[in-house]
Amino acid sequence: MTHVVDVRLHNDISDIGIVRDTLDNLAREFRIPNRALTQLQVALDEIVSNVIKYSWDDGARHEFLVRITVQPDRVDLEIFDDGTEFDPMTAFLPNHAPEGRPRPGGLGIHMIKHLVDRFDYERVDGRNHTTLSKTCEVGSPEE
Amino acid sequence: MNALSIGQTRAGGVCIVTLSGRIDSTSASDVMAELTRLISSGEKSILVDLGAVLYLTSAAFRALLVATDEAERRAAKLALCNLAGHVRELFEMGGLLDVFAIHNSREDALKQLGGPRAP
Amino acid sequence: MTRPPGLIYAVDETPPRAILIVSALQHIGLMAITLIFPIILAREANLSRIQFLDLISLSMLGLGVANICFCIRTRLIGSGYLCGAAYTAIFLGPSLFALQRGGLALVFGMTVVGGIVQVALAPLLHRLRALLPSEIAGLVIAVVGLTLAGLGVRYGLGISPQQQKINPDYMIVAGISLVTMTVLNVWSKGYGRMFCVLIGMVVGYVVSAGLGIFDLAGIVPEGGLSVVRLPRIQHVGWSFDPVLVAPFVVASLAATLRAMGDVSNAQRINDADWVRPNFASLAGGVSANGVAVIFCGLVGGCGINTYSSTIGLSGATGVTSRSVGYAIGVGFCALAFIPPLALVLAAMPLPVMGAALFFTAAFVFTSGLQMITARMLDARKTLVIGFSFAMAVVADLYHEALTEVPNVLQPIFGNGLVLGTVCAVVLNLIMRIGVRQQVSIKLPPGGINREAVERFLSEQGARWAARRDIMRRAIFGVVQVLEVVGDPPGGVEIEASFDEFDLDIRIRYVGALLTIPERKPTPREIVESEQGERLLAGYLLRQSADCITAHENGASVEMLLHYDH
Repeated sequence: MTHVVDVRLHNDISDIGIVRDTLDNLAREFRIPNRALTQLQVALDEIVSNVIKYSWDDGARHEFLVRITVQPDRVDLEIFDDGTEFDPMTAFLPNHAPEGRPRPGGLGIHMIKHLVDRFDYERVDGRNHTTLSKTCEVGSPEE
Repeated sequence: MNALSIGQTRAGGVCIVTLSGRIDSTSASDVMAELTRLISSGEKSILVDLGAVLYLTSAAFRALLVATDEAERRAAKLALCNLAGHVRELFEMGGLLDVFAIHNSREDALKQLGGPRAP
Repeated sequence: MTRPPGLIYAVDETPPRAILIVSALQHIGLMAITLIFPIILAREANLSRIQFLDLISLSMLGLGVANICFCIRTRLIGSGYLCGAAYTAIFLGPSLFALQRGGLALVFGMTVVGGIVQVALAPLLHRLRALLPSEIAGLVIAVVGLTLAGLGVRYGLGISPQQQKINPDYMIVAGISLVTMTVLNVWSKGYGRMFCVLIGMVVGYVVSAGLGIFDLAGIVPEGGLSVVRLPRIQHVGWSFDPVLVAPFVVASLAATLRAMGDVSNAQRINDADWVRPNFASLAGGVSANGVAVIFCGLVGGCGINTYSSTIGLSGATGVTSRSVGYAIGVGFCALAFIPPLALVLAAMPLPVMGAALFFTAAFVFTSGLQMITARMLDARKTLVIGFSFAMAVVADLYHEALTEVPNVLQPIFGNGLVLGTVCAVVLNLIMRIGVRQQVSIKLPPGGINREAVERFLSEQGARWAARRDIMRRAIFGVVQVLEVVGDPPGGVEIEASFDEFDLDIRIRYVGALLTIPERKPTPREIVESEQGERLLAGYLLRQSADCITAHENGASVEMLLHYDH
């Protein structure tokens, strides 16, 4: 059983709610364990808000995609955007902070690595592709 | 009587900050100020011992989050330890157990924070 | 209900047959120690050896039935837990008194009366819960633990009222037995731990035989023993005397309290989430006790009670299965008809009994302490517990001095447990005068006074003997609400009301309703804005209380934080 949901978002901070709610609904429907859900939500929040804030600086409206894949033994979150090259692995490091702007990222890469089991980035066809993956038992009855 | 008190000791390269009493909206700023002061003064490993904490309110959690963020910026390590049952419960309720580096005891924490220099 | 990690076989699980049998044997050995009470009765009644054997056999039958009664789970009778049944010092005092006045018939008759009293009390337990809070159950258990330890030392060292010196042979047997049990329980796993007491007892028997203490021949009746034998009941009759009613009623009350304590303890060791006794099971246990006592009286034995040592042992070994209880019951019933085995048990060397009693006493005592200290205690409650505990200890220490007390009061003062229990119940009732179940304070405007809130709730919590963990959550809840609400005009009123099952805190202020969010704010949200911090506050509140509601009364708001106690 693999379930895939694509969520299209714009670079508007209020859009975070859309993908957050989608993940919540999927959690309810497929019974993703509470703790794993929280961890995914936090990590997702970090990545997506950074995309919204820093991927484009032309002031225009852009669209990007979050793909949520639910499998019996894990949940994957993939974020695809066509903004400037933004490697979360390096972008969060202190000496990479862009001049004059607040440092990107909230609580940083250490936290994300701590929260999820797999955290990858690659730049493919001019797009950023960030993957977060959490191993958990999906669909087991919870107290 | 239960007002916050902040104590400080060192163990090798780690600065241990011991908090006791309640951490609420009045004392959270003191905690944040102290931790950010330590970080800006160059401390690279900070351990916050919460063993004697009665409870934390939302302001306290925010202070800890901000301090953790600040530590990240300066490539320093910030960890928490000795969360008593009900304090740990609060972290759990807020979904914040995984957001901080939390260790059961000081010894465990010091081993982790010690890093490559640890024996 | 959460299975505690230390359990090997929990109450609803059935161990494999071999383990079941050996566990049952272990408990039988432990319970057989209490046959000393009917034995004392038999000796005082100057029974012939054959009649002595009859009494022992019938007493074992009584134990068998009692054990089964305790384990069953019908609507009216039975607690469903492995509580063990055993003869008790509680009924010994009144029984000896009855023996003096009217012979064995009076003993048996009044025992039946005692059983009836217990059965009558059982359905009222829930209503009486204010009279018998769980810290008193804890007290009863702690006192029982001490008493058992005292008894264990007496038997183990061979000290008796006639002879104050320590018997070195006894000390050797008891010491070796006790060390065996302890070493097995602490440093071995599996079978060693599960059967530590049985192995220790067997070792004790062997050493006793070696030292010449174990004397089977002394109690075998003339004419030898047949392997299977139906006990005779010619010596059994029943009579009644109103003078004995008071002591037997008091004994029944003490037995009821101890049964409540024991069943609570049994519940507690089977559930890591245990916070308060399940009264249905308690009532079932008490009525089972009553029925068993009636049965014992009818077949010619004295009163039984739940056996704290059984629970202590089951906790120590990790085998708390109800099936073991049934096996014990069947075992004793069988033993009633097999005199040789019965005699081996009845002839258990005193130092072996001593070691077993002392060992299990440790677990019983600390259980009682844990039940007492799980509650917040204010000065009143501390005095109730402290005084009663002291009285219980004193009654045993100064036994001789208290024999001056008039006969009617003898059952109370003659027995530490009964005295302590009566003291606790009476003092508790007296101390309840003036303790209101609903209190409030008003906090003036001008800043949140957390000290006042913490002091108010802690003091009330202690007065009510509320659970520490609940009061902590309540203190956190109120302070967190106040932080979000800020400093409303007119200050804040906080009203707390409590009964054994619910803690309700009402917070009244003039201002706006708090938003209690459905979802957790993320760390980023919390850090980035004050709104995020408020969301966290609201969410923490929602999670920490069992139920939160708020409604507006015109310009003012009333928030209700509810905690299941």
